[in-house]
Amino acid sequence: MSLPSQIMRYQAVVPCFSEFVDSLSHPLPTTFWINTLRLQTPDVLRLVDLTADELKPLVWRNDAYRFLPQQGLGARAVYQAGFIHIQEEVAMIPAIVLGPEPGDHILDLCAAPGNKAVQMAVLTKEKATIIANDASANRLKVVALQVGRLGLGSIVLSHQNGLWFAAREASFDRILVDAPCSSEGTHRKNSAAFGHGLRDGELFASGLQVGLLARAFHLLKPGGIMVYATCTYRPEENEVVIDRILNRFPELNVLPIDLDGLIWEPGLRSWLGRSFQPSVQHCMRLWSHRNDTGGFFVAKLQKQRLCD
Amino acid sequence: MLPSCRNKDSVIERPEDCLQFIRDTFGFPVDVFKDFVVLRANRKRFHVYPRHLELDYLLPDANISAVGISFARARMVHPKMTTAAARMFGKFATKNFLELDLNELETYFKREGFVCSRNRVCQLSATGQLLVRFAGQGIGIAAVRELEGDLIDVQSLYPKGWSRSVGVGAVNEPME
Repeated sequence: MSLPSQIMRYQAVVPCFSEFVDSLSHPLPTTFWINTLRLQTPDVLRLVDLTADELKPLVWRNDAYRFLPQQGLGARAVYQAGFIHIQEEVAMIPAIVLGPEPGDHILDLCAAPGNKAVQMAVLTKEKATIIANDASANRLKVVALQVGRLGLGSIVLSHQNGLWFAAREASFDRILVDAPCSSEGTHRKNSAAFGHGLRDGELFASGLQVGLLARAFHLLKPGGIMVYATCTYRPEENEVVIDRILNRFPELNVLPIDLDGLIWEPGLRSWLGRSFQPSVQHCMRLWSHRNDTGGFFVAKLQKQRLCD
Repeated sequence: MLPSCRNKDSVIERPEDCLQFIRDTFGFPVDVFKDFVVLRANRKRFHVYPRHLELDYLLPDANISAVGISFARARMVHPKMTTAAARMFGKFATKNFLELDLNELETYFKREGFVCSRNRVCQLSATGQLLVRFAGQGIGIAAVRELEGDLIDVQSLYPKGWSRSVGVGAVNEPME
């Protein structure tokens, strides 16, 4: 069977390409984390009522678990009670990498459906100010639902286009830009994900991702951290975007990511004849077969302090 | 049904009165709300948010749709705490709450009712509403009616929208 060109174009950069292709046809494991603001892990696990064979702790995060697909955990009382939150494993990474802390002012620029915003509220024990912004009013309703179900109060919902988010410059300690993208990495739950029709070298939505990062740069305090994430493999939406933003704002540095237990590849050095700045290799590239997950890309950026 | 809210002379309009009513109804210690602000978000609703939230860096044209969570409906004689607020504060209630078992919890999420002994509720209030908890954590609000003997009829007030959207954002919608 011939593979779509959108997959074949990665043959030279994916380690163990055949395993990667094979993984795309397997169902995605479902994962959840525990809302430790409401109940502690042993109490929740008793309620989840799955055997040790059905439930595996994530190797890199001790309050999150993976369970067999096709089990409707979302309909169970333990979920409806807000004791757990279902979130894809790789989608948990950006908020962890961002490292939100109590007292921080945090902006989630493209927040819907709100999984990462609620994750950050729990990580900070509700002691930070988190603005969950999205351009879609309808999708913000889903964020509100998650916030209410988990019983969280520290989240502010904002409905604006992230490209011109209306706040004073240098206001935020941490910003998450989980940008709209072509979503190739969701192929295991959406078989049409490689059918986006984008051509080689084509930027997504005329550089929307670069624009969001540029706005985030201005809103970030000196010394502040921002994380850029997408759920696509396309270098045009990942390394190319990071390289462009580094060229535009020399005050930005790419920081190495430290996350034990996960297998990931560094950012690409070049793509389609374009070489990137060396620090782009600090980015995290997650292929679906390496950890039995979806695909993801994460970059951790720091804005230099004024005295640096 | 909860008591009617049609008497315009006695409906609660001010956030401080709403807070006082809810504090009295569920026996919340005063300290519970000291780090929170309750305000009238709009004509229909009171909202609650932690006092530490700072938003002074937002520009006037920032389109903020909600700060914190909805706390209770305004313009009611007996304001009903929202499900979200019950989850935030329910564990601190000292009276007028019912600890559910797992079967009752599942019944509650199906928006159905059940009958149980009145003795399971500490100081049942006369407001017709009851906080339901599970494992000591707030789950939501139920309407309560006294039956003959020692029994009460507990009717789930779990929001219809929440029960219809089970797993939304986690299952039915791309998980990011």
